[in-house]
Amino acid sequence: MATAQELSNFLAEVERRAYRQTAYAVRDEHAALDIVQDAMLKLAEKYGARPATEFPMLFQRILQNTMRDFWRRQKVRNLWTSLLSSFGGHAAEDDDDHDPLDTMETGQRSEDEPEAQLERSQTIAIIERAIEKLPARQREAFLMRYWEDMDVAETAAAMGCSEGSVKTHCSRAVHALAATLQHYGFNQQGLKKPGAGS
Amino acid sequence: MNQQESTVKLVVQALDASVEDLDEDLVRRLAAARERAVSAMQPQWQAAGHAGVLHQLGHYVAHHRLMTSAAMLLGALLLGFIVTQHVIGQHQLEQGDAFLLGSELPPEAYLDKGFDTWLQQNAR
Repeated sequence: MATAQELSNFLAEVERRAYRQTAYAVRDEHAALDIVQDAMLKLAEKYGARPATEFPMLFQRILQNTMRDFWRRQKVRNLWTSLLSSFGGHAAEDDDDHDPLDTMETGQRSEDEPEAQLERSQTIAIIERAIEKLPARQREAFLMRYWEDMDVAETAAAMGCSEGSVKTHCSRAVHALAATLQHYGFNQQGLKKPGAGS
Repeated sequence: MNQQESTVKLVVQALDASVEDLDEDLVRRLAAARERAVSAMQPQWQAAGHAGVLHQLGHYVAHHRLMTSAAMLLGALLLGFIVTQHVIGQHQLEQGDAFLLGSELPPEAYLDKGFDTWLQQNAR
């Protein structure tokens, strides 16, 4: 059985990544924070008695379910909004209809920052945009498998699908990301575009 | 390193970097949320975690609130009934004793062979 300290350590380790992961999915920073808070509370209240080793998979599952609840609520809200007004329904559309460029944050960095910092920020922004652009299931699989470092079985359990599906989602996500990065002219050395300075 | 691996590495590097750049206020709010979550865990699981039976009971009550409430209500009613019956029975017993002691002996008492012996023993 996990102690409060173990739970705290686990949450401290994953909370930022969970926030980013959620923000990529829901494309709303306030909603992302609310979702992560909810997921943390649910994990503590309902699964606090489980061994700490189960926390990563349980937390991911709760996070995904909380995101789905958010989308369901958004769908209902959008339905009513679109019924009541043709100007509504800008909050969350289907993944395929959404253009990440519309919601892409600009000017996150100060103009006074050094050029290298700006380059890095732009690179991160391009990659984040590519991540956002992935279909939801591919993004979930990719982030859990490679960013959260979960194995295929854990990812499958958290996503509620087969291990084969996880492999397929991951493979497609990697191909899509590779194509996007190539389109922007990234090399394979790290976070620098070729010809983007030293 | 093939192209897939390098893509994964590049993306993960960028994602890690994006986490480092999170706004300070956001980081504080995440930490506050974490503390709330941990404190929400403590009364329910951590205290009970040291005693298996209490832990199981707490878990059961938390998940079967309606049934537990109904069982507690029934238990309270049953306890009330038993206590009432006990008090009434005690009162009736006392009244019967008083009546027997206060009234004259019935004729049957004189026909009981053991009554004389009992009377002599208790008279001492």
